[in-house]
Amino acid sequence: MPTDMPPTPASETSEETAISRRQLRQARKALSPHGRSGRIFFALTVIFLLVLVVDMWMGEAGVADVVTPRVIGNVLLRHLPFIGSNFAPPSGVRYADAIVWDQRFPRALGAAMIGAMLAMAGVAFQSLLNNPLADPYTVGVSSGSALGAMVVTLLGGTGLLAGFAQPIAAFVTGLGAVTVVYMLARVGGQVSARTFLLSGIIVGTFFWSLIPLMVSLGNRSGIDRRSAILSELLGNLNALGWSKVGLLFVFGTIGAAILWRGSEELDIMALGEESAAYLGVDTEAFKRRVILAGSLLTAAAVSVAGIIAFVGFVVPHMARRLVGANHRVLLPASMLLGGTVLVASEWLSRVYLHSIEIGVVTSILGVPIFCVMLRRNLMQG
Amino acid sequence: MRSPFYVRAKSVCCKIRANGGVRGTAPILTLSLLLGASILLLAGCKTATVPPVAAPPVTAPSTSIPGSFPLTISDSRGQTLKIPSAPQHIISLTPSNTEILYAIGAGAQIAADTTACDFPPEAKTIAHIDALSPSIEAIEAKSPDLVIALDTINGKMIEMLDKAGVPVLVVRAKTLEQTYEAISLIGTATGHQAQAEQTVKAMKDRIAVVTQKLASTQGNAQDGQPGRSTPSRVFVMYGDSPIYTTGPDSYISDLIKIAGGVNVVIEPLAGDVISPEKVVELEPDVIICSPELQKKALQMPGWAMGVPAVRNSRFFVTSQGATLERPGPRLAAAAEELAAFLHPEAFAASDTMASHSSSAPSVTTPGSVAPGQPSTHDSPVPTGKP
Repeated sequence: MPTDMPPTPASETSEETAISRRQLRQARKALSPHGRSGRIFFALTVIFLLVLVVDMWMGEAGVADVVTPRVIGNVLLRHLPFIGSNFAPPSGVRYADAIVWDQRFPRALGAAMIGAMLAMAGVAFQSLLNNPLADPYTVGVSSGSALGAMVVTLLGGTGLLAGFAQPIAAFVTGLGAVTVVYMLARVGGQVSARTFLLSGIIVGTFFWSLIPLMVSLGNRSGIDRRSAILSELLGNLNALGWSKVGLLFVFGTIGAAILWRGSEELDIMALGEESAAYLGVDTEAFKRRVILAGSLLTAAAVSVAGIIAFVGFVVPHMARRLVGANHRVLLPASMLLGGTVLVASEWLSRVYLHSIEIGVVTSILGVPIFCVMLRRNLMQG
Repeated sequence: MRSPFYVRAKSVCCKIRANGGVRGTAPILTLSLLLGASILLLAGCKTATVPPVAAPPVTAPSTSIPGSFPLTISDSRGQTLKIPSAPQHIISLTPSNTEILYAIGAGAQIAADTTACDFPPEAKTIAHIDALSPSIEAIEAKSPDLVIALDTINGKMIEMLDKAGVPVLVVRAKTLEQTYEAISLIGTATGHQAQAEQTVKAMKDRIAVVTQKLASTQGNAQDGQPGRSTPSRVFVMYGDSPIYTTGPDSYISDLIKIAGGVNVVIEPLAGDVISPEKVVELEPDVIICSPELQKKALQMPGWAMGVPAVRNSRFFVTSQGATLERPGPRLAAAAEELAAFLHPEAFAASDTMASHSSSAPSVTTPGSVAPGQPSTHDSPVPTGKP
């Protein structure tokens, strides 16, 4: 319903608006470089699949000698739906199935989904707020969600509601955080982008100050919960099994669907809120919808993997450089790129960096990229 | 409102010539392809409950490994575990279990231990799993036929290994009695039942000697009995921020009691964390901690005045051959050393620690390192191995 705008009261009122909408549609088409996007998508998909394969293929030193590509291929073949039973299991590698099918595969897939979700949330917040500095972290959702996820860990409720307790709590607190931000930034029925970001940072800081409290309480609640809380703090994909992939899939699909249906409005929002309102977008309702979707995506990612910084920040910028600002193209491109970045980080961390927390890797990779992009933007004026 | 972001979007817009067909099918196609692929995978994973791969034929256990295999035992968490034959590729996930394995003569059956395993010295020569952040892939890649874990330390890993179908023997060694049981359990599971019983008996004998000695010279060390002096108040310190300690139900508490002292922490604490103020309030006479922590203890605000142990510089550190940090065979030696530290008169009166130590019954497992004594064997091959 919101995508292909039926004639709204706004468009009926004047002829001018109708003309602007037609012009806008043309302008929007121009937002994306034609001809290149097809090839870019092909390249992005190939790179993404390549990284995914490399990530599943390679193991840390010592493991790679045992779990060879041959073994991995065998395991994957045997798990094919109809012809899988024709293949014999590999000999000599006792836990090949556990390593490849139950650990590496869901982890790579989950990492890709988390990357895609964070990137989508980043695109949503940046476009909605018309601000290149916005991301799930700066608008306060990440820290809010992390707090909710940690509280569930601390109370030992990670297994409740078939594992959905944690993402739901993360969603509630993340949404709570962003609601407070929204209320703070709302002046006379309008939310300006600048104040939104400012209050986002303030509320985020408040939630961040509660997180050390969680860590301290975690110290007193036994070694398992303590390490779980620390890994939530730094971002960690170790516990990513098939059930978590399913959970990410549910949340990711809902969030992606909402954003995809709102992609035209997101394009229009880039022209400024006032223009968008003139063009018949119910800006306040739309903002709420996008914030809801962004929080949903972020909460699911944070509850599964903890705080993974910079993916939701850098990836949308990279994608925008590659395919332009048309959201019908930008959203899928960001998903692919986000998935690639996170899977690559996971691979680096697991194979070369002694399984260091993945949030550390994305920050190390993300900050220099961001600096380069910032400088370029400044130079271009 | 015109933000820089708008300028950026507009510049893109101006640079690029308008051309039709941007809403190309490529992104939609990619998206649907990815979604389709993931649905397929999810559907696949549900049906893919493939039975664990059959174990590669293990070399038939030779007669030199006693014990009756196959056997079914119940570990410390009550989980039954089927062990088809004497395990030959054991992975030990904690230093204490590694020590137990070596002490009962199962050293040659260990495929890997952790980076923290440094006793006996030969434990350092075999393959290691990272002690702080163990990787499950590294464990599985070794194709272990038994993983031995400690419930207080390996919680998360146990869960993951269970899920992956790796046989895990979980031992609990919170108290001294449980440590004896852990040694017996590991002995049974690895086919070294007799040696395990011998190790436990040797430990009990050495501890009995300590108790006897304290009783004969003082008659006051046992709690509940009136004595000439009150027993030393001992505090166990593990970290400095926060300070971790050990509550009453622990092997360290048991050993302190055996050595004629009392643990100042008489109530279990949440997460074993204690505040510096509480330590001052408890007034310990002796602090058990590592040499590095001694400096921290000296610098704790108020401790130099308020804590008798710091005021009198009474810190207890075990020697190489003993340990209070790992619930294993070396605990008996630690009990001797702590008793001698708390009650030098009881031990100086009869004989020195050294001669006492050698007179105490020691583990006689051939080839294994007797607890309490530095290893002098240069070819540590237990005879239990064919």
